Amino acid sequence: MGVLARWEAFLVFVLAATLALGALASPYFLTASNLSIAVAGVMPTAIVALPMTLVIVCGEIDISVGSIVGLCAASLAVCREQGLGIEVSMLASLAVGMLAGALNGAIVAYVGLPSLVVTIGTLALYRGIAQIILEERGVTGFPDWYQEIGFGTVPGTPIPWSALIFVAFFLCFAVFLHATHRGRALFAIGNNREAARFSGIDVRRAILGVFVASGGLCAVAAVVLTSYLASARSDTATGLELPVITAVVLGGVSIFGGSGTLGGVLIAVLVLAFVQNALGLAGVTPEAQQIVTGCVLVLTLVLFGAARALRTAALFRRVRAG
Amino acid sequence: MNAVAPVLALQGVSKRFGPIEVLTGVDLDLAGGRVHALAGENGAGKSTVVKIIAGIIRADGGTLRLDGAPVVFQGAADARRHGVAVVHQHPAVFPDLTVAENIFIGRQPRRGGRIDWTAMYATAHELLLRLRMEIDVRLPVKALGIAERQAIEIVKALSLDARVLIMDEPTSTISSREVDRLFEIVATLKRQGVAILFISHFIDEILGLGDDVTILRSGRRVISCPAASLTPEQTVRHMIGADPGALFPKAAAAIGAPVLRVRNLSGAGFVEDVSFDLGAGEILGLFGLVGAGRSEIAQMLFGIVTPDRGEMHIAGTRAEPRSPQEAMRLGLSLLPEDRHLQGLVLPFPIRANATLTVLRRLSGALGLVNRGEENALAREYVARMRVVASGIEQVTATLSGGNQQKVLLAKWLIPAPRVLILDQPTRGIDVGAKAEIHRIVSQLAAQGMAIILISDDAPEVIGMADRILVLRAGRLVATFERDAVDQQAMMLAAAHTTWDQATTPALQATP
Repeated sequence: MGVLARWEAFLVFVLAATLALGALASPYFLTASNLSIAVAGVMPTAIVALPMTLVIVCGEIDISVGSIVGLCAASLAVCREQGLGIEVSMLASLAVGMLAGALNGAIVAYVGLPSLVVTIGTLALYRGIAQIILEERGVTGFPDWYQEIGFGTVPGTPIPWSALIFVAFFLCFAVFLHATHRGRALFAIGNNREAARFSGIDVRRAILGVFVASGGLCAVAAVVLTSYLASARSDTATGLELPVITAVVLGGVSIFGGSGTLGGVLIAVLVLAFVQNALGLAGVTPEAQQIVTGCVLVLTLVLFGAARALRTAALFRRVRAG
Repeated sequence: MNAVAPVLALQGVSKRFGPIEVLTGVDLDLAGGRVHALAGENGAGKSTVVKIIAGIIRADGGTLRLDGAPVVFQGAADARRHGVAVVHQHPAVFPDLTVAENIFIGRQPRRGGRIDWTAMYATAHELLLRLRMEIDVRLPVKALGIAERQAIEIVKALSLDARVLIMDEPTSTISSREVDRLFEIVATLKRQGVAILFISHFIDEILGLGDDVTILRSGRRVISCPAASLTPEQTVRHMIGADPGALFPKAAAAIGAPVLRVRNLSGAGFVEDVSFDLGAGEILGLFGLVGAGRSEIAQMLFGIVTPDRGEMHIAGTRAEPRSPQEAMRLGLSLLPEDRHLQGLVLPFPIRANATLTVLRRLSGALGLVNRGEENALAREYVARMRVVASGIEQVTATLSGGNQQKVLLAKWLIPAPRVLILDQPTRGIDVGAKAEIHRIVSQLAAQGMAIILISDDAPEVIGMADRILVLRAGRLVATFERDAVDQQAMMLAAAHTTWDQATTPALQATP
């Protein structure tokens, strides 16, 4: 826990540095409207990072999130094409997302296959289904209020509606993970699955649960993203898994499972948002931005490993001395 | 064949780990063409001897002599170069490679820069024939049983011209039919003049297979003599020593009505028809060697392994737990055998480990954990167990083994079970913590808890239990009441399988 607290302090410092460097790069950076745009742009990533944190804390991973978002967007679009109301379409898309997550979870938890392999498989599967049901069509013509979700702001403020949605889910997830017995069980599972099972924790149901949550929040992200892009297509959110996993790992969640906080993930999401925005303002191409994102991820892992090694060494010194 | 001078000899070998001296002045002679059996209880120093001969660790004092000349092995590879090979309990093989590849891994015969498969298969086949093993050398090793894998390890050793073969408890993981095969191989090796060191728990194997026997106790050699001059009773007495020691006080407790009734419990592959009753306030000792089925019984009772047959009644009601959560609802607690793997979440603070079993109960409507209640509960039990720690937030991994075990005990006492199953509760912890745990368990029995104490530590079971059931190969073979327990008889029941119908008549005839 100690190193996590320090890691989050470090992240806050990185965030401050990002803001300072961004301000140096462009006088436009620190304006309310620019920060609002930066935040709105990263919200789909941030929303999916919430359940991803739970999945990774359990010691699993969900590579298929981008494809589930695409499948949800395609489902929404097909429902609209069939003349269904937007509310019904959104619910249908939510059901599809949770079902996709449940399939992942069932295979991982009850068949016992590694989640990395399973979700690489369903990454292709779900994207394929999305492309078959929607083909190359793009569905537009959403109601005005729907368009507002992704791009609009709360009247009179620069706060994006999507950020409000994120904050609501963030609070729910943070309370769940850090204050409930089910959240504690996820940490136990991620650290020592066998001991969790011996302690009377239903490990398989918990793992199924986090994957269903992942699918559900992918549906929410699909709504935000289709609204943001004002169009629903089958290739929506291609490659989303990468920034999502980057944010979670940068947030100090151990990729091996068992430790991490959603607070750290929140700061990491903001860092990523502002780094990309600042780079964009500084005229760095999207391709070069990817290089920066990749470097940030690898560097984080190296630093995190070093911090852990230092802490372990200090611990053993204390044990030996005392 | 009639080897007089030993091939390999230990002279006055000593080894300490930190402050603990695990071997003190041990002598051991291994002669060509003879099987030397090494016996002793857990912790007597057998595996340390093996590691020293195999070059895995180095002795602090004494000499290792090969053909009379002192040697110091620089690691396991060096020992192998000197002709010392080890067959382990769990053979390390490459399951997807063929038998022949496993034998020649890293040194496959080549022709023109490519592996000469024909030559490799032929040589492997020939080597196996020398042991009278008919195994298809083209089969992947994963298709074979453990005994055959052991045979492959032996063949590998022979192909390296091993002159000293160490067999570290090779029979504890294989079936009796496979044991017969293994013994045939050992007989063949003897004829070929290999010096064999054979480690076993089982008295009949020690006396039946060994030409010579050395018995260790607490790191010292108690006796070395020809196997023919020892009876099973004498062997056990040498292993356990003269003073079993009544170090484990069990307070007198009135044994109440039966709480747990088990009938014909069978399953987990080899547990057969285990039946017993357990009363309130009673400590029932379950004694047996590794592989006797102790933990399997515990895990069947606790819903981790589903039994094939049998009934279980708790307080008169039929119970069929199919998961630990169901078993816990029925009032069972299981302190598992492996503290690190099955017991504790080591990176958690003491508090979170202690309350993991009751977290749901400590949570309100929304599942929110009541941290005040949680802290109070953890503090209470940490104090009761006398855990030595800076506080309930200390990370469990940083505690000593004994204190970790106390946290584990707290974790399983907090649910207030009616039946407490303790699987090896004091293995590998210091004497002080051991005494504390015995004190606590004794108190719990006095308060009316029904307790099953599983252990392979004979003095512990004798000191603590009101009644002792002895297990061997998945069956109950003997019962001892507290006032009529005889450690020697108990050890014999646990370790001595089929002395009369000795599995190895051929070997005993071999000079």
